[in-house]
Amino acid sequence: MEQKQLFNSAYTPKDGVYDEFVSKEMKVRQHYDALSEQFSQYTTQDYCKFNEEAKIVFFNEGITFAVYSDNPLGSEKIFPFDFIPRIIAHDEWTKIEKGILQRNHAINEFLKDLYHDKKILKDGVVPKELIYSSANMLSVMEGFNPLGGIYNHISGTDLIRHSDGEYYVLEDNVRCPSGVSYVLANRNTLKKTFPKLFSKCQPQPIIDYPEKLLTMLQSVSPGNSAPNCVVLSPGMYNSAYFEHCFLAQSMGVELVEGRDLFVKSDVVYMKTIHGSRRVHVIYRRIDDPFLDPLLFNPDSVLGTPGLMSAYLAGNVTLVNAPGTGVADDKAVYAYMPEIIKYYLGEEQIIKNVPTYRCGIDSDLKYVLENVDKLVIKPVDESGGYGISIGNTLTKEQINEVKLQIQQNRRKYIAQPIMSLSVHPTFIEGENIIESRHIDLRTFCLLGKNIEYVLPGGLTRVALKRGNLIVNSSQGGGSKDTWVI
Amino acid sequence: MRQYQLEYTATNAYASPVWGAYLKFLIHPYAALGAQINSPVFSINVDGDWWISNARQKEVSEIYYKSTNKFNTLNIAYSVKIYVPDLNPFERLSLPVGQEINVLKSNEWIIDNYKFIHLTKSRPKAYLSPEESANFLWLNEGNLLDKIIHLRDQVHGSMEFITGVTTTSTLASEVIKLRQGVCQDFTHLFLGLLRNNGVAARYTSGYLHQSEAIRGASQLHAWVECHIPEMGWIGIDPTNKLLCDHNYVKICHGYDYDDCLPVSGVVNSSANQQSSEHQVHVQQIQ
Repeated sequence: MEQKQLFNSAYTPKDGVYDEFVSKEMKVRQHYDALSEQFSQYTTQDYCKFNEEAKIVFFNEGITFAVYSDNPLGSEKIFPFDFIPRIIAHDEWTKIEKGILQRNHAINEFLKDLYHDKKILKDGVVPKELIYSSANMLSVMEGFNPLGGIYNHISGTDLIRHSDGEYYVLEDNVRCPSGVSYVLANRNTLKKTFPKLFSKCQPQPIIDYPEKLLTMLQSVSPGNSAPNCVVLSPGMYNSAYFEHCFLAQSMGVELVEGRDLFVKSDVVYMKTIHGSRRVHVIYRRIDDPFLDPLLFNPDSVLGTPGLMSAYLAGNVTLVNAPGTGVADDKAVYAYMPEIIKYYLGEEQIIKNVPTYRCGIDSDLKYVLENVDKLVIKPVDESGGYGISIGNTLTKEQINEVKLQIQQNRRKYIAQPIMSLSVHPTFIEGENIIESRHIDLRTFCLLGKNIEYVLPGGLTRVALKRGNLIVNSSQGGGSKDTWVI
Repeated sequence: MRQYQLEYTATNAYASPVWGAYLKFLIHPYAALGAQINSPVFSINVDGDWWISNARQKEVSEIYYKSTNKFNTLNIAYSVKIYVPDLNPFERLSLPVGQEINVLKSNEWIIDNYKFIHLTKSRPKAYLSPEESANFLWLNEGNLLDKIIHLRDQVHGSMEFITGVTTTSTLASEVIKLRQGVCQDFTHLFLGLLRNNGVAARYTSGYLHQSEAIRGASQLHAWVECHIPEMGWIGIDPTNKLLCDHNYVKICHGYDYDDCLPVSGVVNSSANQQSSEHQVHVQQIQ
């Protein structure tokens, strides 16, 4: 077999993981052909040049994120960017898009039900303890009907591709998912770097996302004409402040903080130099507990007093609705296949990571025999508490976990340890191209008669060798994502 | 039909000027079935805007106030007239015991009432552990209301009504050791015990028409409402060992005291609140 030099150095795929770029036989996957051809013409110097150029664009445009730390000099960093785009074939994307819409529609129905009749709990499909132990269930939302019946206007569904080549949903984010500004910035940067490759591949455009977002916000406005939409940010110390500014600016709406708003007679106004101006829709990037000091955290200075009563009076729409967090809980995730079936009568299109419920005899047997290959999670705790990862445990710990499970079977679920797919990535310093683990955060909009999934999304890449954590706070970077 | 004139006055003083305040008052009577609420008057000594909101719950009127001027002392005076239908709490409509137990055990009942049944350490004011509540006897037989009354009498009997030993932040787990307190302490203790026995119970605040030997009449009062199949939410006062009748004028209910604060809000000032006094007056109009 002819060994073709793919990049400036030998590119070796890893065993046991799915490589997005080449097959096991080292054959470039068809949708990467154009990219491979172009890249084979580049030298190490070219790669370094692309990397530098991208960095300069990011620096000049101030595309940053902040890491929470005590550093008095500030903690804003340039978002690491890898110039080799991740490409998703059209057919594959069509399925992903459908799956994401299905999932987020089901989550919306689920939230509607939880805050009204609770049929899914009464029918015993989802255990009631799981919902009521969640700190994110907001009783103040009970019986309230958000405009257009939408709770999760903006959802960020995280996908991975396992070693079997299939996509799996890793988690749902229906509170304030962030990252979309980097998708747009990455595209902008890469367009300047590889104009020829662009016109050859013609990836689906994403440039109209801010427009779609604004249209969605306007669709859920309580006012009928020319609604005033704003982006509510906790301020410049938030890790996603760049994104708040970016989205407000690109939608052409005001960026506000809690102190810029006030409530009078259950109506929200913003202070301007021309006097007060009514606000109809708030795309809030503040978590529930900080929205309104009168209702939630009285010490919070981020929110606006009276905001929740204005919302409940129907005079302003909050995007996303308060109380959505109950649906993106780890424990609820395990029930997503049932939730989709219950509300939509459909099988899930994108798979959940398989989940074993220890309350079921056959599942329990498997779990007890295979603790070392599984992740064990309690169903009634969120935020990663009480999770045991099988392959990191000692023999004694494994026995302890087994005992815990047997003592309270219904409390535990188990999932296989998933492996993330890999993608060629430029390694700064060594100036070579190696495979690194990636995931994909997708962005989905639901409005009144509006549904939209951003083609592609944010591909996050773990820049440290062997690291599975792709989060930017842990030294991860991102790639442009093309759907062709 | 009874008619009452309700009056609430409060004075909040600050050591240095307050530049802005956004306050919420829960002092307006609950729009209960058959009640007529007339001519509310809200007055405050500092310039500002105020309005009534029913957004959170249509029966509850929250009065909001936003100051437009600086101040050191805030004087609030509120009055309202209310007609209350006569209520005989001894008219009982309980289901037969067996039927009642079936309702109480049903998934439907537990899910619909979960908000007021479940105990959580994240709301510690009315939280008691099963061990703490084991010292109080819960009857095995009889109707739910009888069991609740039996428990109420134990709470009343074990507690001493004394003002000044507890504050608004005292927890039920402290009250159960102290065995002293005022109406909200009696209520938190009773709530913790009820919830440990699976009863849907909620904290209720309101006005109490004064008669002799009734405690808690010059302040806002607190009692418990329990959800009983067929009967609905029944008011029970552990402080006065009574079932609530037309002398109890409810304002609102919640999980515990924190949901029923008469005054809450945000104040922009460099100083802490120096003093705060509340007065309540309930007068029956013949």
